[in-house]
Amino acid sequence: MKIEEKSINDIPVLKLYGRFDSLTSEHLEERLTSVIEAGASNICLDCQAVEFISSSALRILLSGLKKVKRNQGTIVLAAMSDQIKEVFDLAGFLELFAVHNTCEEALMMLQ
Amino acid sequence: MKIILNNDRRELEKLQKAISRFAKRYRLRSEIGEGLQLAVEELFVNVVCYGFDGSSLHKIKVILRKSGPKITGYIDDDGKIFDPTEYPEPDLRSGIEERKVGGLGIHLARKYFDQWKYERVGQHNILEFEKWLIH
Repeated sequence: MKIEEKSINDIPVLKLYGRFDSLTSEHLEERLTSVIEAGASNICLDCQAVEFISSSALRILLSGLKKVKRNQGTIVLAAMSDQIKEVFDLAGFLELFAVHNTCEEALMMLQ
Repeated sequence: MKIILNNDRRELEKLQKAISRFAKRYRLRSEIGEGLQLAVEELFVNVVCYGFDGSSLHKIKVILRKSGPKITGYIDDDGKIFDPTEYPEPDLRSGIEERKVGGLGIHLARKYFDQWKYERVGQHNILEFEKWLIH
């Protein structure tokens, strides 16, 4: 599990790598919280390199989305594999999160 | 595969490795192996987080078998009575503000297994499950 952070046109982009299970998801919570507390309302998560996601990571994403929505912001997800997308679908998250094929597409949506 | 774990979330790593070995040994397709990881992890973590009061040490037994065209297995713990098969489905249609943050783990496990059965035997929760490899 690794998270890289960059900023494109003032929008924070977190690139997630590896497995986000109930042990490693705490790091996601820390990073997401710190980005939101730093004032970001729109956030892009690049999921291309995510190999596994459990309900603990989904909970963190949902909490993050609730927070940014209160500031009229959103979290968009990009480039997830079919396997990860299926977990999002089973959790009913595809109705809550905007999912894009590429990070560029996701960022354009946020402009 | 048989593994006995302590009621400690950090034991998850051992469980993940054991399931990976099981998936490799039986050459399970990646979506079957990853789904198995997810479902069993969710159930194990649920027992660890909600099954026990205080910090006393308990053992959780996880067994997986490949029998013909299916995977069978069970989880045995001596935690509080909890039947995941009767756990209510989360509301997946509510909007963002109303959407509950919890309850997703059991739901994901339920979706993965083709069949599961709970029994309370003495002081133990026994959850048996099946996943068919041919559909």
